[in-house]
Amino acid sequence: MKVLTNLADDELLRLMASKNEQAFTVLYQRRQRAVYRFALQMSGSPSVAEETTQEVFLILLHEGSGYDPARGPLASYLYGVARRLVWRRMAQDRTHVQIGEEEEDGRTPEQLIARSEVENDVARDQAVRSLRRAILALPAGYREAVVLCDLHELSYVEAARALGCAVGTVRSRLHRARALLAERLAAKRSNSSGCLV
Amino acid sequence: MNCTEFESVVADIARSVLMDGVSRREGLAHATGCERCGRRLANEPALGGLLAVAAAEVMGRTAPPAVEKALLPAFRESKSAGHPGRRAWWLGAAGAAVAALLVVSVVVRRPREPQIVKVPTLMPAPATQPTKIIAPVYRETRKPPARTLRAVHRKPAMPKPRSAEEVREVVTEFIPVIYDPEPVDHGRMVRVRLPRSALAAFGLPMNEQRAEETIQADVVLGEDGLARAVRFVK
Repeated sequence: MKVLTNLADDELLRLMASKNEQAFTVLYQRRQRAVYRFALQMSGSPSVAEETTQEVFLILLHEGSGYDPARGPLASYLYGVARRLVWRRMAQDRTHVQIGEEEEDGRTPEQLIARSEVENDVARDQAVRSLRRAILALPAGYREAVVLCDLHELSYVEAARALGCAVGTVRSRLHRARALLAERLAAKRSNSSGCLV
Repeated sequence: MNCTEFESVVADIARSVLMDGVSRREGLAHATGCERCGRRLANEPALGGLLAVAAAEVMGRTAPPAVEKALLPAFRESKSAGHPGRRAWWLGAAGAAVAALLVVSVVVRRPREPQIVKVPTLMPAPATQPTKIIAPVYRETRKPPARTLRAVHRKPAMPKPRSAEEVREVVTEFIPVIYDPEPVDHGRMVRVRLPRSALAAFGLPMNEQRAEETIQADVVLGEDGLARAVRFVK
């Protein structure tokens, strides 16, 4: 197992094709976080993120041969598959985008308060929650750019590979998305009495 | 640099992304001179900070263990089924598609045989007995689509000219045109346009106000080229 963890994704995929279950486990453990977080940040729903993660790896199991290393790393391929699944899911059920505050991270208000008391930073928590809601309210194309470039810290090139579009498109979407976020957060600040940031 | 151009670089300036030095200098200079863009640039670090916090908060989130538990049996199952089966399925499908294409091309290339039309035999009627006019029986038939090689090739690109409902035709029974003691077993059918008055000639009702118009008819020609029967098409 320890040897397998040092292998590259392509090698693990090759081993998976020859029925190596440990290779699959290692690859899953390595890549599931990014896929799950991407789906969670795109949909705002843990259940959608869970289903998407499962489907992404099922697709990898059944259509792994469809992945072409020449077109980019496996991570980009997985982001691309997750993106398609999330879009499909959002088209089916748009209500997932609008979520309650308590459902965002699975914590109860009491837990949030306790955490805030410990950190003594209620304003920042509120601001982050507002930001998360603002991200979920962005148009899906802009949201993808923010999630991949700002939250997952992918470069423009990596994000463009995952989204299957030009680097310039990612750039312009990200700039527009950040402008929208800044506007919305500024409007939120002006509506509330205290300073949030 | 104007405000619109500034919008396209402000995020890169704030994120310290590797960028063109001239754009960066011009962007910073514009932000100094423009109050709105200056405010926008000043807010960018705060936005970046919030995004970093939001990213860090979910950094530890992973898919529940149930997902992996569900995937492992699927992995074992897929491997026991193996890829060759899948490949065989695709090969079978491809083979079937090729076979279907071959059949279609053979059908399209085959010269069309003359259409066999059964023509009712006209029995000689006694001269003294008046001809009994029978109202035509209308029945609906579907016009088969023209099957040519060109049409097959163009099929994906060509828009559907008419719906199936539109190509539906109403036709009369075949009406004998001439007396023929020998029944016609084979013939060729051609579609022609006749003046509406031809309806009256065959004892069919006709609107006299539309006598100048034409009507479609299918004429059965015998092997000698003479018209044997006709039916009217609506």
